[in-house]
Amino acid sequence: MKRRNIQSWLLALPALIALGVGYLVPLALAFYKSLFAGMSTNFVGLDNYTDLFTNYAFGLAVKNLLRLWCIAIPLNLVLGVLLAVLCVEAAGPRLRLAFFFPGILPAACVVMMATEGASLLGWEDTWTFHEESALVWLAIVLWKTLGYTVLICAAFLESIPGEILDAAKLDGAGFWQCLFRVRLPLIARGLGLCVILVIFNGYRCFREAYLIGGEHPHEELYSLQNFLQNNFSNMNYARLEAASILVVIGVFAVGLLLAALWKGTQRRGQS
Amino acid sequence: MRENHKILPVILVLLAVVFLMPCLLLILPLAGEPLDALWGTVISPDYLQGYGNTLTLAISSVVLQTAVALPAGYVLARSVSIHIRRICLVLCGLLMLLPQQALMLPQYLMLQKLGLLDTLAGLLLVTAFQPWMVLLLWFGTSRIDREIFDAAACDGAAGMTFSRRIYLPLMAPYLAAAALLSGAESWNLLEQPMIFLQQKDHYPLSILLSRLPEADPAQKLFGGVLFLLPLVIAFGVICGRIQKSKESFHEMSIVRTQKV
Repeated sequence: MKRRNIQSWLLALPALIALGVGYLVPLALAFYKSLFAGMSTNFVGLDNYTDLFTNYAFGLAVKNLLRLWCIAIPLNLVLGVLLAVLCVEAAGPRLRLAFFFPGILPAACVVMMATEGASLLGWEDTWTFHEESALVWLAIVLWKTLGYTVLICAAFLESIPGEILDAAKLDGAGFWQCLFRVRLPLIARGLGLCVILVIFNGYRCFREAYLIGGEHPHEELYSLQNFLQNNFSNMNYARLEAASILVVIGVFAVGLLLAALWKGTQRRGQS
Repeated sequence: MRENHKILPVILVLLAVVFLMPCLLLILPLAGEPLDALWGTVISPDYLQGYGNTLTLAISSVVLQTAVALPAGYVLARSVSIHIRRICLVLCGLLMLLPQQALMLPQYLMLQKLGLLDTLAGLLLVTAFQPWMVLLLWFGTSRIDREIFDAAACDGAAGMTFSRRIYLPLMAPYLAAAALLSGAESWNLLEQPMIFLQQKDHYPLSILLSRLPEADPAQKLFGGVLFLLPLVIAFGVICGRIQKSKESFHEMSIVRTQKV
């Protein structure tokens, strides 16, 4: 037993080290430094944090992030589930990979496509500074994240035994009733996973936003990436450290809250 | 219902074609151009060096990330109590919800302390732990029958023999998927190199491509297409492999149930 324990620790060691180096140590360092003013050693407590709350750019970045989620997640789930149902009903396992393909395209190439498309549509070159840029970016986010939802939902849908659907159809349930009453509840777990992946891949799409809008984009396109880049080049480290810690706390709080809520509904569903 | 079954595949194929249509925008403008005119950007030393940097970065991070995530996934699936497992699951989920952008400056500060700024090693170090990869490989391991592990232990297969002959082949589809995703991710890496690397010589192509000096647009596009090509090939090959191994696995399980 003891030997097996040691073996487990040894196997987990690389991951623990990488976790420490990639996440824990940097965050601890940033937290410590965020309590001091600028690059100096003046202890200022939470001043950097209160400063952030009044910072317009940070608020804008967070607001845009939340708005992106409010639009992209529901759209992605609805389209993804419908496409997944279609894939399961009508085609073999290969076709759904087509929807996944955009997810691996490099940001630089996607932006090239967007520019080409805009010039085909006859837009002026300055579109990257107007509101359209935010719409184009939203389309890109959807385009790149939809594949994950389709793949996962299709896999979960396929694992539903055919008898259940046959029984529902025998009882006179139509397509939509089947979808809402039978299929969706059975793949709820998969949908949760999809939401996490949409958020995860949405962050990656900040690259496209940055490449489209440059350093000073239209307000609607201003993202955490811009905030990071601009403050970084201004050497505004203290503000960024505080922002990092705030974002981490915010994400963890919201994440844990959602996880708890999720657990609650699951339990109620079971009983 | 019968008619539905004929129409639905057609609709789906059409949707897939529309979905992939934007990729044509990358290739179409090149159609009329003579091939000789396109090489200008591609053979410039900047481009070649960037390509080399991207290749090194992608290959080494695939290897490193897999080496970190595979043992962790194995331990989580096999030899940890359900309590710890659940904590790790939630932790990985939360880490995935964390924007990379929020970690960039903390990681920068740490690399500065370690003196690893502007090196490939530093970049690899901070991206070594990928929560989604741990989750994927853990899921893969937990799908393998417990009996297989027990049978292997009975036959005296342990350590390297076990992992080379039994565990790794069984995990091949998951490893391939993980390698594809992590390779594509490092191929596209933009914000980390932009901040952690300072010399232009070290930049991967993903940054250089958007900063190419005012070149001919067609040449630029051609550079983009060549940059994309390895990813497309890898995507095709790996998806084909995964599909094939899935099918053979399916047949195997059918044979087994028939025997039973």
